[in-house]
Amino acid sequence: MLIDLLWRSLLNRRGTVLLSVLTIGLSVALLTGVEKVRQDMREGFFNTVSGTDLIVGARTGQVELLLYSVFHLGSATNNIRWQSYQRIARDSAVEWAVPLSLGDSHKGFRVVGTSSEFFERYRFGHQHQLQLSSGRTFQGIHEVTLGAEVANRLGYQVGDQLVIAHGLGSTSFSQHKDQPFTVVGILAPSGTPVDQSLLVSLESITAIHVGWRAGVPMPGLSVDANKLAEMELTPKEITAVLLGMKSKTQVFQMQRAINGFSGEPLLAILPGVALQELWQVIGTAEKAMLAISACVVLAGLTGMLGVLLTGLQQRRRELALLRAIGASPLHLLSLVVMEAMLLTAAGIGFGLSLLWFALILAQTGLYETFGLYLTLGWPKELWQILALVFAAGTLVGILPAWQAWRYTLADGLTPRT
Amino acid sequence: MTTSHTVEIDRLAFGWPNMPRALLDIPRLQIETGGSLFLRGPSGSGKSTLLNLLSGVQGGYSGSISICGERLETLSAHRRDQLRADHIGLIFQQFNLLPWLSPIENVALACRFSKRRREKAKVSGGTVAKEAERLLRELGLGEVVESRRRTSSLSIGQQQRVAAARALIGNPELIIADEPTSALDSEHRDRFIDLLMAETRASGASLLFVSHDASLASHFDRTLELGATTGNSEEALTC
Repeated sequence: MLIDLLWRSLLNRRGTVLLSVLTIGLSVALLTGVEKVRQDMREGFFNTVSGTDLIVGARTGQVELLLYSVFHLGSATNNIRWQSYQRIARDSAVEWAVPLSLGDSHKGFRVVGTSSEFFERYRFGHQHQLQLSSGRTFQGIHEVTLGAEVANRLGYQVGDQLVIAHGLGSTSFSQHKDQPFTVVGILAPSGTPVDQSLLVSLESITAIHVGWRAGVPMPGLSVDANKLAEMELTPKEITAVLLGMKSKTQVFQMQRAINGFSGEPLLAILPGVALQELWQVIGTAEKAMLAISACVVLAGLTGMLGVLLTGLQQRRRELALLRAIGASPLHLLSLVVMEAMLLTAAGIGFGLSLLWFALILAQTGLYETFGLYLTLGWPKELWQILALVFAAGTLVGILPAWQAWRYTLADGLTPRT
Repeated sequence: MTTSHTVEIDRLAFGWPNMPRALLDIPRLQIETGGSLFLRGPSGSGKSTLLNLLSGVQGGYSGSISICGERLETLSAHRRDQLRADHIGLIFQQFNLLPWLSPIENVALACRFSKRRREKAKVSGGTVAKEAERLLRELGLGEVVESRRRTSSLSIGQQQRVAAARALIGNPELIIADEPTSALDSEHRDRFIDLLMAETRASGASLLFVSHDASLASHFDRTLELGATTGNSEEALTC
């Protein structure tokens, strides 16, 4: 029954009230925004290779294999023989096998040699497939399909020509100048390392290395395009294999079989387990982010406390007057707590609209600048976060309310101001 | 106890814990229904304390205080708040009004904590707001009502009359006015007291008027002097 009185009183003090709502709103927007980024980052990370049951490479650590095959970080120390790949791919339990051949680059972006099945089998997020934003997937040799960020950063369009460098440095001196590639398609953003990749066929990788020995072109051994077309371009070695099994129950059996492979030392990893291990290393950053945004909320609430306490001194007469016309100290206490709750609630409302607005505005920008792909939606467990903020806001109101209680008891009917 | 007395005080004594002598010592005081009492005393004589005791915002006294037949010392703090809301209308020296409410809303405020006064106001005026308007007009504030003046734009004399209307709305049995005229000049002061007396009489309420100004005593039925040295009023006071 006091709520309309409270409303009028707040309107009367709208300047400071608005300021504290603004402060709380900003801090709530920041907290929920950080939480949103954190969740989407985590989600994106764990779903970088969804749909793939096993990743196979030469024997090494599972994190290393994950890093170079999926995230294109570091490089493989050993390759897999083509025969080994074929034996695995033909196993009756295997539904599909996508070979990956890494080792070349273009202006700092990795070139990935693979089969055209890659576009069909590679999944990210909740079983999303890669989409083309223009053109088509590569088919013949010397055709390349670009990841979204590659095209965006380097300004390539379908039909452009580019030259692939041997090795991984962005300023590699050995360029495959004699065999330029044509851009035939550009992929839509996926928020995965594919965005930073140039996808070509395995045959193209073999072709550009014809006439090379130990990483350098041999004089007089370069070939022309006509000759290449007649050559057998099946690779002798690849870097890694993505495997999909017909049945999930066969995953562990297959993993054991590959790890005990007789032909050469191989390693098969479960992407989820390896991602989990990797996340433990890089995941502390997200905890730091959360801690910082919690501090921001604390700062916002402290600001509100200041507003409430200074307001109280001005309102001492108002409270004494309400007491004189019959309000009990409990009434006045609840009035002040209610004010804190109202301000917090308004702040939360403002913060959420700010978050939504920022999400819409920042979605593309964040993606293009940081490769951070945000979905348009509220963070999970939003209600728990908001309930926590609301509870904290109410708690903050208790201090000035207690002060008001003391005033009313000390002042009696006439405030001593 | 009979209910024909709005206020009955019996052997009341009150002192602060660290004071050697009692601040208040009133053997007997009665204000009968419709009666008026002028309470006079210099500052520090315990006027404010007596008002706090009578209105139930302060306890810790010995003896007995009855308001409309209810003995305050037997009531819980909450019941005393309710008793004040239902039966007592208060007017202060200044800062009587909430500047962000209209004059009518300020008057109606008194009905907010009391169902009893709300119902009475509705019987008398139809709605609480109409009754508030009626009282303002009777107190000579028709112009304020008509031109929808803001509370903060009223003169002090007008503000005190709005405060009087708030004390009167819903016909409480006791009106307590604590130095209501000390901010007014003598002409306005006399007019205010006459108006207040008339309205109080019309509503059948008792009036307790507190002031340090002895010249006002002639307006009231009886006078009670509170001396700075206390031990006051040996006589039994019946108004």
